Amino acid sequence: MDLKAQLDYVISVRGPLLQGLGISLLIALVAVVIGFVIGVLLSMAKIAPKTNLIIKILDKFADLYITVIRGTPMLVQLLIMYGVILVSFKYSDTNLLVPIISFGINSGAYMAEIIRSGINSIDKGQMEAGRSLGLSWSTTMFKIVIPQAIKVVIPTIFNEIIILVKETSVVCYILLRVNGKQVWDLLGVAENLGLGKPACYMALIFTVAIMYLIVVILLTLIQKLIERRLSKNER
Amino acid sequence: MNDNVLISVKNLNKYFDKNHVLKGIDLEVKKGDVIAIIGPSGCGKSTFLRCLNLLETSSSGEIVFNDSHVFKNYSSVTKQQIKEINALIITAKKHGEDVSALLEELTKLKSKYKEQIKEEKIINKTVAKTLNKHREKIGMVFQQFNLFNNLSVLKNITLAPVKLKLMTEEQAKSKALELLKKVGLEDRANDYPSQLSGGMKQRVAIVRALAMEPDVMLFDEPTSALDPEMVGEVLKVMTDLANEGMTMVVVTHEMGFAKEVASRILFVDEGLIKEENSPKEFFENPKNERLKEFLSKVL
Repeated sequence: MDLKAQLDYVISVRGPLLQGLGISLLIALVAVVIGFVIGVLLSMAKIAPKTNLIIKILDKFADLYITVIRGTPMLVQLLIMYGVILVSFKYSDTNLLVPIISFGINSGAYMAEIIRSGINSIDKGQMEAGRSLGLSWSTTMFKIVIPQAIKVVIPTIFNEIIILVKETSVVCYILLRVNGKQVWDLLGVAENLGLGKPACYMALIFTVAIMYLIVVILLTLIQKLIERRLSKNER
Repeated sequence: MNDNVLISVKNLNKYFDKNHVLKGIDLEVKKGDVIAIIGPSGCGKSTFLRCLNLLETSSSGEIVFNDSHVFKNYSSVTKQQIKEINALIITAKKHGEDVSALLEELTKLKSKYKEQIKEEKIINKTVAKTLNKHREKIGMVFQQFNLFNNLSVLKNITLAPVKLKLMTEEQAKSKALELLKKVGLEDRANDYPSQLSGGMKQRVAIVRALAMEPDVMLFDEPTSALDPEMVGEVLKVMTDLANEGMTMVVVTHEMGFAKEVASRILFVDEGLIKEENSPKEFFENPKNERLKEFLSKVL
């Protein structure tokens, strides 16, 4: 098959490919939101002054969570999540829910460390000034420290988002492996099309690569925009 | 209690791990006092100031503010004494000596300890609830200004009074503008801290503390991080403040300011107040040897 014919084929299946990309982005972006929320909560547990037992317990829990999640491969976590969650969901329609939750939980551990390091990079004097005015720890944290920390961690957060967007592509192989069902994410769609038309397989895979590349370039542009926006007020 | 006394500190001790930084500080601050604290660096003067608004937790002693305890801890001292007596008893027993007197002492200490713990628990509980209220009444100005970098000058000043529901947004704003005018910065209200010079930042920091209408202002080396030509503008604001009758405790290296403005000067060295006197006596007739040495170096 010549190049022209392969290109024509790829263009003719752009609908399913774009739909696949949509699914991939949906998984990644919802997971990022879940991860961010988990990350904020975990980092708060680790940073809050250890004045009572509940915070001490939460701190230990956060430690354990981060150690386990960062200490095991994403692929293995996905396999375990499919083993556990699919079983409890009795093989109902959890096709998207499982990867979203898995990637969200995974991302949470990394986000926690990113946010914690961002908060630690803010001068202790900011917190002390807030407290000396009679503001509570949490008011000072959420009004003063976190807004400044967010600015510091934007590049690292986007790094995490970019990694996540690409990493979701492993999900199609897992599903084939686990139960033959498939999440129709971008790579999954390409794989399936490739099975029906082996001559165009490599063209499809290159197309997937280019589509991911474009998404990542767009994300980088968004990052730059946000950074510029945030640096307008202060230097 | 004398209702003129605003802050009363008794036998205040502070350890950083094994480092004994404050070794029993006693001080009374009356309304309208302007107290300058001077001393070599590392002598504990900043730590003492931070203990007053509980940014640092003291190890033992007591602090009374406006007639109510904000810190009281003697039980840790008693605990140490119990430990020492126990050790004494053990050695005495080894040598076959009579330990009945020591044992009696020990029982006394133990019951004392119990009572102290009981009292301190009650105080700690109230303080945990009133800590933020306590801090509202104590303005603090830091060496490094510590303006909120993510907020405009105006927001820096109005955030706390509005958040703590002491004023409405409007009231806080007009109060802030009025105070900014007083320190000559009314045209900077919408700037961000990064757009200000060090001297301006410190003046805004003073205004931020004043906007809370505090009973006392603590200054922790307010001019030490400033370029020399900016020291004057900050000292002028502080002098005006003192002349208006604000109660102030100022840790400083500005001898001129201490001499002109302070009503009392303390010399702190090795965690103790080594000399406390009126400015005139303090500079013209110092008694403590270390102070004489210190003054000969800085004057």
